[in-house]
Amino acid sequence: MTGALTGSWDTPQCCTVIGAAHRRLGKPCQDASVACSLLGPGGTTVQLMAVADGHGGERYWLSDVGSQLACDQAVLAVERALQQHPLTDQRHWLELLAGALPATIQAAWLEAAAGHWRQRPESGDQPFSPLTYGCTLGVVLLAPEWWGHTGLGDWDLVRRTADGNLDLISEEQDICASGEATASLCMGGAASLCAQRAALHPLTPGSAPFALVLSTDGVRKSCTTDGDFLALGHHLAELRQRDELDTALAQITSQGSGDDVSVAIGRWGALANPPPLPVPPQRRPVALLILLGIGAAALGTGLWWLQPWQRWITAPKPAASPATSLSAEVQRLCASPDRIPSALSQRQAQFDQLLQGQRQRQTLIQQATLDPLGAVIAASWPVPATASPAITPALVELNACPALLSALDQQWKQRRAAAAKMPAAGNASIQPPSAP
Amino acid sequence: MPFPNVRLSNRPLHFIYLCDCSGSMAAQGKMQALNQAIRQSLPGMAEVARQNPEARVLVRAVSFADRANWHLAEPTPVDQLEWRDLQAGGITAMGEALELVAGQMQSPPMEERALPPVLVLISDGQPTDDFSAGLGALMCQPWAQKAVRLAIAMGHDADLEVLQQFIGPDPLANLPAGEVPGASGQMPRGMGKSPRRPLQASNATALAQYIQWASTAVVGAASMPTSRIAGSSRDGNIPLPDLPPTLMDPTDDVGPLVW
Repeated sequence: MTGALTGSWDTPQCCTVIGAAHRRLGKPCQDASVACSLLGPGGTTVQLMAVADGHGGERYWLSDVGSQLACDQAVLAVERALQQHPLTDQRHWLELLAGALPATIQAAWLEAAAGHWRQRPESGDQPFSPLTYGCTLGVVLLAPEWWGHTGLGDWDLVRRTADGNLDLISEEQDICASGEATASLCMGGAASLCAQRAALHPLTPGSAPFALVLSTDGVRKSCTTDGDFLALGHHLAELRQRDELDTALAQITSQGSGDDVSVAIGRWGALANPPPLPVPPQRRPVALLILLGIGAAALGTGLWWLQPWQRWITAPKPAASPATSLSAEVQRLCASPDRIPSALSQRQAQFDQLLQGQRQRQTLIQQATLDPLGAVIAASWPVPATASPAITPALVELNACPALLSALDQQWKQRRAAAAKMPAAGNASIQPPSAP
Repeated sequence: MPFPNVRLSNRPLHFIYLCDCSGSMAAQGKMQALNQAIRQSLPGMAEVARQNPEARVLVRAVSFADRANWHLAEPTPVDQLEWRDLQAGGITAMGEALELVAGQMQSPPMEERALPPVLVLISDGQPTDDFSAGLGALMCQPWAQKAVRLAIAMGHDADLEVLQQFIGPDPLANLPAGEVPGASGQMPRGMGKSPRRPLQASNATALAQYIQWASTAVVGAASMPTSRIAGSSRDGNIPLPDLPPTLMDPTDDVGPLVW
């Protein structure tokens, strides 16, 4: 690449809203979504956004868990890949997106689903079946010099350019022309299907700003035509506040398909619109310098910013604070208590690192906007020796539900027992999401 | 920020009856029973539609005798439907009826976002025209492939083989015990116990029950926003609900053998 890039990625957003039909019938939301920052080689920040959609029929009756596990495993797999493969090797990353990465995600997803099944009472007399957890998965990576996607199933990815053009970048081909059929992580050979949805797009110095809107099928199926869907993508790309996205998605499902709806939104080229990244208090002087630099650079970016995206300039929205993210994560976990054990079991490394002093409690809490679950775990530390279940003042303040308290207590007990048996350094095979 | 001028809509669910109106349907009150069964099923169907506002249930009907014609050509919301009686007389142009429906199983006129349509073929006899050509024309259409296709045999003179061809292969035929999909998850009894086989009605009561099941339980299942994995034929295009308990085995008919 020649010349410096004139843009950067904004912090991605994601939002999932239960479908109107599922809410009416008392069924769980079978969608899941994630948007986070991961630490790449040399301190580079890579953004990840993913959506997953559980199939939802009686045959796939734990697909709500499956979709959450799919998002969790996508984050962990990408994080591991970032430690092994330099981001500058775009050709290699394309190969990863088309093959090795989805294969890793699927294998880890199967393992995590099997682990969840073993905790179910039904596991006593019924064998584990991946079908039970069947879901789709769409993953988008936003690297400093490229962006790429992979996954399988009926998710859609729309790109909105600064001049208002909208492109459907990726959609599922009609591979079977049969009912509401879609490719799924639970299928044998699922990873190989991801090659069809994998692509890598280099960013160049001349790249114009754009936004990416990743969505589950409930969004598209709520629109009368594809034209309406693209127009909706245009609108969603402008929503920066979580409550705005919540409201929009609730309207989409209630007036549309009734299905669960999820979106994840990434924006590139926001030099003229300083990204509202979370800034820990001790970093504010540095952040101020960055903002000043951004402001100077913005003078040279051209008047097009004043056109369709001018609201981004005139009305920058503040990012969620760590405290807000922490509280929201507690509420999210407590809204689906059966998912809590599996979510926490994916973070054993964080428990261990806190136990062994390799991670600082306060640092994790300050990074709640990037890793809210890690912050919840940190808020449960240090564990009082006398109370059972262990309740820290922070958890009391967060109004954590009994299911969360109990699951955290159980994890701490398990990790303490494991630490007593194992050498302290033997626990770093799975790294928790890290903040830049 | 105001919501944009985007057309959001619930998803249309097209329900199409294909009704045999050949001369044999005039015998033993079959035509009268069919008209009565469909008419009586409408309130239940409307209730299911009301309970599933994310689906917009639209009903049409084709009659076939010497020729096939749209008896109810306009996709009609079920709560606005007034059933006009079908009349019997003529031969059995079933293939032509399938071709007629085939013309509607493509986009357009089918909406991009439609739910899998439900096609219910009801017959008491054998096709007198080129059934294979009609079925071939139908199954060329993508929405026909996605459709839930059900068949009801009125009496024992109906050609079960052609009705099975219309439905498609029974995906349950080679399944191991205990793997039969359905709301109960239970293995139905005996042979021919799948709603993906022709449902044999030997009297007006059985016919009414099958029509009621198709227009309520099946419509309810087809209205739900669920998906399934590609390449799996086990569930068909949607997971069908169990037949009514007394009709778990379509060969176990309800009431006396009339037809």
